[in-house]
Amino acid sequence: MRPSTASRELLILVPVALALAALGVLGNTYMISMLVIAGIHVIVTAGLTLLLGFAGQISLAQAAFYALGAYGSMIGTVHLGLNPWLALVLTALGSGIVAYAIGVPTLRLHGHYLALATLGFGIIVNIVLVQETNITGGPTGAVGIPRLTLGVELTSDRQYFALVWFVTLALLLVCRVLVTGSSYGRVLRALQASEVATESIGIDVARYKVQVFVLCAVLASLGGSLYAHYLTVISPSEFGFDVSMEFLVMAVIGGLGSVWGALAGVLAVTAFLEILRTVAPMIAPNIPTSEYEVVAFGGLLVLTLLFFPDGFMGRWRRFAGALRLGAMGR
Amino acid sequence: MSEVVQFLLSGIAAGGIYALIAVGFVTVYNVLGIINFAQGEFAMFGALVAASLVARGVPLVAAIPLAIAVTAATGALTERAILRPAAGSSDVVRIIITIGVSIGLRGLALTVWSSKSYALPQFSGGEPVRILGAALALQNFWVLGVAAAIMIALYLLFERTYFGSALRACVMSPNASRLMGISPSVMSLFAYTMSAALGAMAGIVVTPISLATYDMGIMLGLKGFVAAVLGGLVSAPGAVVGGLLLGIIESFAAGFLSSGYRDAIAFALLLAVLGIRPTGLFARMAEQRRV
Amino acid sequence: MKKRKIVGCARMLLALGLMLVAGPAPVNAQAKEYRIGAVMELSGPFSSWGAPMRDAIQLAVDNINAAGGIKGVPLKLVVYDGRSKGTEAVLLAKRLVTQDKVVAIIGPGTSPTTMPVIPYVTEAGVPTLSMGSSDRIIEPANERRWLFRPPYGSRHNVEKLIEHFKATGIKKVGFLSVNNAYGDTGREEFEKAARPAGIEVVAWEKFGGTDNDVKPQLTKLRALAPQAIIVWSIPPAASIVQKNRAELAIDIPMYHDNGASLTPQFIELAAGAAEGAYGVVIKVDVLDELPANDPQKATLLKFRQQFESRFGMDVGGLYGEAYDCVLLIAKGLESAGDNKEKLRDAIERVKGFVGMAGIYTMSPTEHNGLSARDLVIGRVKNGKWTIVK
Repeated sequence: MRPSTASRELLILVPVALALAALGVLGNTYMISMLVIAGIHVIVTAGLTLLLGFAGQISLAQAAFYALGAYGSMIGTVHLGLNPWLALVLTALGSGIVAYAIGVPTLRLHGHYLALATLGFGIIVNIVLVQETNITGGPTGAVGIPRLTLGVELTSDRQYFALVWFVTLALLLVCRVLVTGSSYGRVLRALQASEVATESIGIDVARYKVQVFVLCAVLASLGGSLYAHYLTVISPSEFGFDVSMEFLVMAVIGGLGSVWGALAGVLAVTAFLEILRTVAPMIAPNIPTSEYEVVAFGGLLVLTLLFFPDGFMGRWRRFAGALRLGAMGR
Repeated sequence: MSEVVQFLLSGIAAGGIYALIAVGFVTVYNVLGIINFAQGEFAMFGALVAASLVARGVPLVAAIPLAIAVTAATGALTERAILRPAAGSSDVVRIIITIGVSIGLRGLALTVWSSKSYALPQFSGGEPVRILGAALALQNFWVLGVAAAIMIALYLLFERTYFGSALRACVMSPNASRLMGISPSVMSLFAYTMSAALGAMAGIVVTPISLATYDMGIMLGLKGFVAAVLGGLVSAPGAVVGGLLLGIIESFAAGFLSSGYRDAIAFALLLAVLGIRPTGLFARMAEQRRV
Repeated sequence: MKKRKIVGCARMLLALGLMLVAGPAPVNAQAKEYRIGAVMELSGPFSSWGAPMRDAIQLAVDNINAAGGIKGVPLKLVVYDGRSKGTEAVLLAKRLVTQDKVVAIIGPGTSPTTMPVIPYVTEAGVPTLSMGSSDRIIEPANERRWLFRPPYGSRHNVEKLIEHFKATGIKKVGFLSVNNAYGDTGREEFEKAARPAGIEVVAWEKFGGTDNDVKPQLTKLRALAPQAIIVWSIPPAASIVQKNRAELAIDIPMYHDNGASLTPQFIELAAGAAEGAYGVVIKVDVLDELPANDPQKATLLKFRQQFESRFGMDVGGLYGEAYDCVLLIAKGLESAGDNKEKLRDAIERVKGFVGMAGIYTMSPTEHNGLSARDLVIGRVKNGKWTIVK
């Protein structure tokens, strides 16, 4: 890894970590929990950011892999009595294998076959969660999932906040190093630039795509496990098709290719909804605002995609590029 | 015995609905080269507009074309304001823009119509057709008839007219089309508007059976999409056959296996088809191109 | 290269900063008011339930305030959309408690969205009046000190139906439930109660909440020749079942749980096909037939008049159930003030309180308070529910 890469990543990481630490100390229970969920969403979205950015593929089953993580951890700890951490790792491995089984046949074909397969897979997973009541708890959900332990049992929101964001930032950094620093990453970036060219120099493009898809699923699964142990209650409606859609949208809003985009996308959406909830009653105190949230959310998506088709990160990349060009012109 | 007949009739009835949605997917896919995830929302929009008009005393015969026109205009606006500016973006981003559009339309519908259900009267009054103890409502014949009419019209348009060829040329090679004097921008506007109108027709004709709600587009869109994929995504007759097949298989599987897993069957079928014949069941070799 | 990262960072910091600024909601300290929070499913798959609940709660709060509030202190309602998601419900419950400083929470409106909220409200000690249908919300009682579930649950419906079946000699039934938490809860409860009561269930069928054709399930049930078909769902699904029954010309009587009659949409959407349907109903739906000495009659007449003049539509049982949540909290506030612990105790001590849905008698082991005695078996005649005698 080149030192310059490291310093560039740190340039993002350190301020983000500091800002989070400040929020972790100052924020109230509500804000802390909201950020715990946001952190988990960043992990899940980051997988999509990589898949969309490098493999140029859409997965419509991110919420299903998120569910596999959550239900895997639930079954491992509640039904089988495993250590939560062991269950988390086993579940992630299992999710990776499932993703591999879906990816191999579909990613060898040219076209968006992965999108079709994951659409089907995602919905089937959700229906199984609803139907297999004895194992999953059915539509009402499963309760009594143990908390995670790190020496002591983690019970407070602040403890989870620290844990989740440590894991999130560490995972983002690892992904970032993987795609920018390593020779592996060079292939991925070549793939991003031109699939045909990459294939023509004898690289097995499909293999790399499958690997990115597996990584995408494993990240979702890890997020799901953390979610299950944080809320201790899970139900199928948290993992529906609409949730897969929301993850996709957050990934695109943030910008594809760089996992920091996932961070930007999730935080932008979280902040937007929060501001809406706070500001709307001040502007129109007598109108029940809650229903307008959905419209505003849809509006935000469309506008963002319209004006920032490459997401926030992409926009800034271009903006910065223009600045550089301007400077050179002078 | 009456159960088996009912499974078949219900399957055909559901299949007609899926087919109606599927032809809209095919239209957009043939011209814009993307999957339009807002297709189900256009059906919802048309249905709710028609139901509101009828509730305000507009006669059905006037309400239907009016609702189709309003939805088509919404589609045209969407294409001009949202999809066209993103024409240079990748397929992936444009597909996700249609997801954004679907969420936006659903939100709009929730604000305007709230979460209530709305009904429309059957297009023609009368007792349902009963065969061996099984029943099929008259409205289902309307669904099937409209699906058949649209299928024939689209087939003629795409396969038999110069305009249809021009529409299809845009996705294959926008530059070559431009050189031939075909404007991809106009074609895209036309196709998206038409798919919105087709969606609205679908939504309106199923509402007397299914009722209309702001979120009816989600499942309708998904099932219709599966039907379109089964049919190969590029041909209207394929989509209609795909829809009917999907409806019938789903109905029998739900009836004999498990009614709780009913919705899973369509998607299991999708996975099976992808595994065996990814280009769809009816795609001709020449039409085998990227999904 | 560096510049873009810096700009990117600045942007994220800005976003975080905005959240920090937007965070603490302004709590108006000087003007005294009791804040009540509500998490309702206003969008998402359970949304046909959320808006009616919200409207009823708002009506109750406005009525109490118009009558001078609680000993002169007005109520203030803060409603959020839980988007039919448990995660959202938990976050919003935390927002209501930590930022909006509410004394009690109404909602969430379903069982799956209530379950994740339980650990938090228990830990934070906030009286929470859920509107889900499952008894898992209030049982085991010693772990659910802070939870109440004022509406009728599946248990009451099953009790009323079985009592009616016994009285009318129905021993063989088919069961058709909507494929979600609501239907599953009903199915579980009926399964538990049917065998001891000597009732045979010939088949357990399910249908999707958005299905538009239930005829295959109905023909299957008809072939098994039960004496009655029980339908466990809410409108619009319940209306579609009735329409399909009419299309098939099935003459087996069909019994709905009180989900069907909770909103007037059931009869309206079935467009005539609901005629002859049986159902468990709440007294407000059969108000005109109630004897003058019924303890609820006077209250309900006033409620119906207020409701209809405000919303210009027929009232339904769901509105009454949601309305009662506010009344229960208000009753608690009268004696306890805004101390949450005292408020909880006060709600738990409510005895013989005449509400819109029924008469509430709470106790440390009874956090629902209603009894199946106040439910009625009704039948749709000429587009209205009537009492079956």
